[in-house]
Amino acid sequence: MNSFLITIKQKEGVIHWWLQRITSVLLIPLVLWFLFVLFNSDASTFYALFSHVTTSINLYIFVIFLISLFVHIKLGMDCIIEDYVHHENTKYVSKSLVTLVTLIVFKFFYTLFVL
Amino acid sequence: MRFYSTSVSQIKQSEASPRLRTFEIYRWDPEKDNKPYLKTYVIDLNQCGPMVLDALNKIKNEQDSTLTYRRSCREGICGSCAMTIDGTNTLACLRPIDTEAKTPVKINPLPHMYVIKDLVPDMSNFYAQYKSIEPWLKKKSALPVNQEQLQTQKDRALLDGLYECILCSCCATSCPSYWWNSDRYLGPAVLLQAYRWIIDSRDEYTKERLSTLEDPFKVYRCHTIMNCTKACPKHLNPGKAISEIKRRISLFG
Amino acid sequence: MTNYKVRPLSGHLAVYKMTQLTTMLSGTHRVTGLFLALVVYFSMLINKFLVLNLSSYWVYWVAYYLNFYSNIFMYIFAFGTLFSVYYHLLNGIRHLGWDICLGIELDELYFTGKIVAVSSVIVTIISMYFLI
Repeated sequence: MNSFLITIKQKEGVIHWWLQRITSVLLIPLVLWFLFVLFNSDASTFYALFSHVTTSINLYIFVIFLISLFVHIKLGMDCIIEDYVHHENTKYVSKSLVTLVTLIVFKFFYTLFVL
Repeated sequence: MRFYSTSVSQIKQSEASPRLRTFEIYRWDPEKDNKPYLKTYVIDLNQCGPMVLDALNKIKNEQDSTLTYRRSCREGICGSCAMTIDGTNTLACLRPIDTEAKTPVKINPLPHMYVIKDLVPDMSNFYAQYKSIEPWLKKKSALPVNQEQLQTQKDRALLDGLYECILCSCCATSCPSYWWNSDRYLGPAVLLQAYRWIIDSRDEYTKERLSTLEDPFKVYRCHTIMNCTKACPKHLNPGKAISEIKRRISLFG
Repeated sequence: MTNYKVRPLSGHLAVYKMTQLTTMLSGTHRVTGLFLALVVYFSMLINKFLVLNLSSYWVYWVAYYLNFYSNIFMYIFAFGTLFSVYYHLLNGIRHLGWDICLGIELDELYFTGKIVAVSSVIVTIISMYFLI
């Protein structure tokens, strides 16, 4: 277990890089799909938008879209924090805050649109 | 018909009006000044060589002998005279003086480096980072006896565009990531050399070289801003070398 | 011996040419990414704000003026967000190309960079036309 944790810490850079690339590749079609749904929805309110998104096939795609979007956002913010914040403790606190806020917003959108 | 028989040099002297160019050069003397400042010098381009280094030499010889800068080969191969001229990093001996422009030529030392005096930056961090990548051939098997280490032409061609680096650090000091993280990020120059040893077919420590670069700082502060490729005075591509390194760093093992 | 003062750090942002295509496009990529992340985070807050049944005076005042100026504000905001999405998407594709070492030579960089910058503006204008 200890050696596993050490390997994870050592390979942090590589894992971050690969995850960012995978989510980017997934997001290219998903963002275009989401914009397409948005523009075609004739939704004048936020509520009319959900009913369009929550038809069965769109729902699965929407969940994958949400997950890759939020992982991509979290990784991008992590990058920015690591670049500009050099004080070890401030960096740790900011990264944890970003992870926390990302999880909260993800939970919000998931419960709103999917459930 | 009358022919004018004045000599060529007389014509040149009477017709040549001085082409003046202003230079604003960063100055700081550790023994005298509290803060660095820009000092203005004016030189006649008709009496000066074409390159910025010629202008600096002329200023040092004729106007202000306290002007301090590094220089050696005057032909773009030693990398000593790297400095920021008009906002971009190049070698002073390879950058022609812009004769058309009207604004002063601004000469500064390489960006975000500690200044020892005038245009001379402290390169010790840069050299320590270069040493840390172990830029020499490492072998596990025995060396061939009474014979060179052979390499195919194809393998030797992989080193083209990498071995020509003169370690002037124009690229590293143009990289904003290197500005903010020069203590832990290795920078494009050192990474170009790291890649040069990684793809050398004669080197047998490729896996180990790649695994030392895994942490989030040594390589991964590179966000492919590509200022390095724009700045390189030898027209090399450090950004490409860094991309190639990232491709080769393995997720497993 | 001699009393050396603390060595100054040479100028960077003030001195270096920041208007190079490489720096500008990379900087815009980061700024649009950050802006989009903040839009996603704030959309949750705004939704909560609109749904919550607050009845204090200042909430009503803010909502009234937001509605009053919402036309222009919404146009600007929509333009900004759409441009950010398209620019970040197109430049992201460029970034993915660099990761497989495609289009990473200097002339290719400049060519693809100009295409991305121009086409993202054009696509945003076309989208705004369809939105309005």
